[in-house]
Order: sequence, then C-alpha cells, then structure tokens
Amino acid sequence: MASTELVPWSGKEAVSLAPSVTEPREIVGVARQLTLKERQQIVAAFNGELYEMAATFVWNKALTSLKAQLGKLGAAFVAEMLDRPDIDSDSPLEQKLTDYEALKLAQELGIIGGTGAFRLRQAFEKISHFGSAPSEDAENEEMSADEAIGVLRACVTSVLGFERIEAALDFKDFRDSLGQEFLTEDDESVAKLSASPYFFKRACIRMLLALVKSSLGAELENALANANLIVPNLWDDLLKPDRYQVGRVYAELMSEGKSVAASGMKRVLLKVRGFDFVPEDLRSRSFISAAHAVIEAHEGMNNFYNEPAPTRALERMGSVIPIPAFPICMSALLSIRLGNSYGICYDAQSPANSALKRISPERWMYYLSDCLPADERILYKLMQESPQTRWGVLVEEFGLPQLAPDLSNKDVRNILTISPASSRFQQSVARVIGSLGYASKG
Amino acid sequence: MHLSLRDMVSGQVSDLLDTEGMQCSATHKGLILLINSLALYRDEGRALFPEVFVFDKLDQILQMLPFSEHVPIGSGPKTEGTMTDALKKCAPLAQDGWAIYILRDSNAFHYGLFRSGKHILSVRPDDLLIENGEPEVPALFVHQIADGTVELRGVNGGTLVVTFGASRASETSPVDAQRALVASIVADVQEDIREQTAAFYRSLVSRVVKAGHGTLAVVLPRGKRSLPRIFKDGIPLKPAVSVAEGISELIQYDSCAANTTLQAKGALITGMLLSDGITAFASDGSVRGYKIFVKHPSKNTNPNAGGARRRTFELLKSRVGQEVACAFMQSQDGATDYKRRENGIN
Repeated sequence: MASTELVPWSGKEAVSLAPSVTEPREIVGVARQLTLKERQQIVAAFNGELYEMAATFVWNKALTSLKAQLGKLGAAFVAEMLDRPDIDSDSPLEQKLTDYEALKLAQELGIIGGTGAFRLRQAFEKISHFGSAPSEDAENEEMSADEAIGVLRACVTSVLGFERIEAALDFKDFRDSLGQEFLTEDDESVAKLSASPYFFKRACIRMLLALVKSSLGAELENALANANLIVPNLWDDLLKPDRYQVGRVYAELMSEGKSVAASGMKRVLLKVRGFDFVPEDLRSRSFISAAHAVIEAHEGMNNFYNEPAPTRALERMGSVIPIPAFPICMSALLSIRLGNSYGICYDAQSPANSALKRISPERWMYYLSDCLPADERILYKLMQESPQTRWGVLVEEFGLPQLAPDLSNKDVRNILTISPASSRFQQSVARVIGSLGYASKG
Repeated sequence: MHLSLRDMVSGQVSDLLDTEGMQCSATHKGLILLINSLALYRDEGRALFPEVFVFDKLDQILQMLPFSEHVPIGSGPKTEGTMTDALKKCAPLAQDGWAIYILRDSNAFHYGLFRSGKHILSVRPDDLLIENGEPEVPALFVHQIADGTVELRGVNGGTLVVTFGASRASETSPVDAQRALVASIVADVQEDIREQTAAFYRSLVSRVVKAGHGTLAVVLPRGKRSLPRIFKDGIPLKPAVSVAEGISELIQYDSCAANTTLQAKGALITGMLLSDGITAFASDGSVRGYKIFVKHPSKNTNPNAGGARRRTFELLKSRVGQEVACAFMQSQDGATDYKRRENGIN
C-alpha cells in the first residue's frame, strides 16, 4: 500500500528478530508467552528431529492465543466481522473459527501486521499439509527442519513474542468511537475512512453492523447515528456482497423484533436506496452455514479426508443459491476445486463440479465483477503454483474468458485471460489483493 | 338541533392529512367513513378488528418489510365508496397478522391485504411504517384500539383518537393505559429482550382490550415474586407462567417449535386476562396468579362507584405503591383506566 494512503488503524509491528537468527533456542528465547518448560520442550523436539511435532505445538499455542484474543471481542462481533450468521453467542469460537479466519480477522483488526499475516499464512499451509492424514509415502513427506523453523519464527515474531496479544490501540479507539461518540463529517477518522483501502471500509461497516445488532440504549443510538453517517459515505464503494450483508442485518433485526435498531437501519437503507439488498427471506443463512462447513473442512486438519461430506451437503441444498449466500458458496466451491499447494481432495471434486455447473453465466459474471475482487481466500490461492494451474483448467472448463470483455476491472480480466504461469497473472492478482489493503506493512 | 359525527370529525381528519402531507378529498371523506365503521365493526354478526393502512407506494413499503407478502383484492375510482368497499371485502380476511392496505394513485384506490414478519416477535408494520416511519414514505394507520374507540395515526406524528360513546373524551386514553401496563410488566425483564417482550405484551393486551369482555390486571412491585395476602383468594401459578425464556429461545433459535410455544403461552395469558377476577403479573414478564378476587372493605364501598370491576379497581388503585406497582382495568363498556406508581418506577 502506498505510504500516502490513509488508514484508520494500522497493524502491529512484529517482534524484532534478526533474519540471521535461525537457531530454535534463540527464537524461543523471545517467546514471552511460552513458559520456560515449553521452550525447553520445543528445543528438545528440534534436537530430537521431531520437527512437525514442534511446529504443530507452537502453531497451536499461537492460534489459541489469537483466538482467545478474538473471543474477548465477543462472538457477535466476530460473527459479523466474518459475515458468519451461523456463529451465535453460545458458539465456542475456538472451534467455530478456522485458523485461516482467525488470521484474516487478526490482520483486519491490526492484531498482527501485514508481513506477519503473510508469514503466518505460509506457516498455516505447511501445518495443514503435514497435519493431513498420512499417505503411502509419508516418510518422504516429513516436515524439514527449515520448514519447522519457518513456522516457529512466524508464530513467535507475530504472536508468541508479545507479552499479550491484542488489537492495535488505534483500532480499539476507532471501534469505541463508533459506539460511544456521535461522529460527524469533520471527524478525522471519518475522513480517513473514505480515503482508506477497501478492507478498512468493509471492516468499519461490519463493526457498525455488529454494534447495531448487539448494543442497547445510548450505545445503540450512537451506533445508529454513525451508521447513518458512515454507510451512505461508503455505500458507492461497497461491493454487492457487503451491501447484502447490510440488507441481511436489517432483515434479521426486523425478524428478531428489535424495533429501534431496525428503524435506524431502515433510515440508512432509505438514504442509500438499498432495499434491493434486503433478502426476501433468511433461507440464505442455511446456505451460508453449509458453505462455512465446507470451508472449515478445507482449512482444517485432515482436509482431504473431511471435505467430501460437507461439499455433498452444500451441493444437495438446492439448485439456486440465494444471492446473499452466493459469494461464500462460491468461495467454498472454488476452494475445493483449487485445493492448496499440496493437492486437492478427489472425492469432493464431483459434488463441487456439480454445483459449479449449475451457476449461470450471469451469476459467474456477478462473482467475477463483485465478489472475486474481495474474495481474499481465493485470491491468495491464485498466488500459489498448484491452485493457479487448476484455476487455468477451471477457467477454460467454464468458458470464463468469454465473460472478460464485460468486466470493468482490468486485473480481473487478466486473471481470466492470461496464463496463470505468467508473471503478469501474478502481478494482476497481487494488485487486486493490494487494492483491498492487505498488502499494508506493519 | 342536529349533530353529525361527520362534521365533528371532518376538521380533525383534514388537519391530520395536512400534517401528514396526504391531503386528498376522497381520502378525507373515506377516512371519516372508515373511522365510523371500525368503531364497532361487525361482519355477519361477528366482531372484527381490521387494521387499515393508507399509503402511496406499495412496492417501496413491501421492500421495507422483510418477509412480506400481499394479496391484491380489488380497485375502484378514487372515491370514499371504494374505501368502504375495500373494508367490506378485506375485513373478514384481515386477521392473524394480515392488514388491509389502500393504495392511492392519481385516479384510483387499489386495495388488498399484506403481512410481514417471520414470527410473532417480528417488528410489526405499524411500528416500522408509522411509529418509526419516515416522512419520505407517507402512510396512515386506522384501527380500533378499544370497543368504540378508533385511532388514526400518521408518520409525522398526527394522531386522532375518536371515541364513540357517552362522556369518555376526558377519560384515560386506552393507548396510555395499555402502555403503562406493559411498561410495568416488562420493567425487570432482562434488557436484551425487553423490547421484544414489550411488543409481545402490547399485542396481547391489545387483543384482550378489543375482545370487550373487560379485564383487571395488576403488576407486583419490583422484586416481588409471590402473591401478597391481599390476593390470597385466587389461583396462584406455581411455577409462574413465564414468557422471557420462550422469547429468548425464539430469538436465538428462530424455530417453529419456539414460535408455537410462545404463541401457546400468549393464548394462555389471554385466557387468564379474559377470565373474571384479577390477573397478577410480576415485573419480570411472568404471570403469578389469575382469577383473583379481593374483598371490598365495606366502609369504602361507594354504591355510586360503578360496577364490581370498577369498585375492585378503585381498591387496587389505593394499593398502588404498596402491594401493587400498577393497576389496570378495562370495563365491559370499554372504559379503560390505570394507575402506576409515580415516576413509573415499580
């Protein structure tokens, strides 16, 4: 992200550790969240060449810490930030949140910086791959020392090296201001927001929605007044999936009998003429839950074993996916098709293909123009070699290049028409990710 | 001397239409007829309580009401006759959440029925369109609020309550009385479901009041969960009939079973309120007893104080601030009265 861009909050800087430090003993030496005993055990595991065991232990420690911090923000807040209506106040977040989602949210809230998030995502890929069910030649697929040290380093510098892991101070200030202050056009944070990259805008809208859904009294009044100011300011920039989230929240408030909150959101939707984005029913919630089950399997351990059942369940849900659930369903189905750097789940391909074949050209157009530019899950896959190759096959199979001329985003056009092996393809994907704001330093 | 209801109401309706920016000669005349008809609406001898909305943009209104549907019934020239036709054709169908709409365009009135919401806690159309309505979406709402009393309300705050009957204009507003009772019943309900519990009871009390049987209810003071000695002659409910759990469950799980359970509780409480005697609520939204009778102290009995229900109410009023936080009465002739502990605190 260019340094001239304004951001309402910035990611936490990683713990300083010289690039030349590669000794596990030295790396765990700065891991403040680990006890002396845990540090000794990790070093002993490395010395005993138990690399995967050491890396998995450190990874679980780091993710548990991250998820615990996210849990302190409240399940309702997390549910809205991730657009997961299937998470409610009783949901155990440590189980419901996939590691990928925890990383994504931690980055969005400034708990970890951009570079730290990038390294953790790479570590996550390694952990998922080596944690999968052993294949026939498992001995040749053991985690190497270098790979394990990479995981250890990412976890320590971004998470375990901090005394306490928490959201960036300016993020907390911003979040508090949405519920505790009555913001005006002249406020610095409001001005910054309009000029900030997309993910800040989306995060702000989701924070407002979470507040409107969960607040009462004066906090609700402030949140509604701020929504009435901020949502219209950002509406033209919002991609349709995020507009649908605003509409769905209004429908949920109406359904739950929250008259004050629903009336406030009605005012917002009237202002932006946004009632087209209010779902006629909440059938989409079932599809969203089914899609998240696929994603949980895909991003969890033993994914190649766990993907078929939820993918079949999603495929059987019905021939037409309700439009508010369409982006996440596509994200889930494409995740199955593209797999990860280490392969795909063969048994899940048939139901995923069957569901994808039912997608009309108009729906593909909608996904490519309005959903893919903000679907960081798929965009990150397109940065990896094997999923890129599978993308090339998929694009041809569904005749997607024919849709390219109608797309206004030049980079998305390139993603459909240029060979995934070329550097221009990589650059286009990187630019789309960069425009979201995820490439931000810190 | 000749007195006409039309003349008395006409000016008020005209002012209200001005306030609402909905002035129109046919609407004006039609509303007067609707107010008259709705006061004691009967179809084949059966009392009906249709709710009528008048607005200019059906599509926009339906978009604003998630989970809505509508059934067009007819249309006619833009005259008061079409409005009364609309009432006649739609009233028998306007039950269980269905309301009548009258859609105005430049030359005609189109009418039919619409409903919205997913379950019994969903925000009601009158709440969203009128109480919390927006001036850019003008709408009027006409309905009977008690036997012989009709309310006309608009988005901009225009309100007209027309009471048909002798010497009641100066008496307590049925709307105020119902609101006071409900506010007391939900005063100690946990905050995150208080709004929905209040809406549940508003709808329930409104049905009871329209039934015209008459009712007596009290709310016990904050923290009191058992019936005081004064209410010993009645049916205590142990355990209490509570709705808070059902409301939480319906919000959280959004299931048909939770909706049915809550509806059943509502029917039970409605039956209690329509029984002779007093129904006693606690301020946590639960019912603690019903069919309660109290002895009238002979020294305080004023033979001119009205019927038995009125005399009981006078006694209950005297206990407000002691064993009772709020007392509410609707007599069989439709008169409503209440007394709530001063400053509204139970």
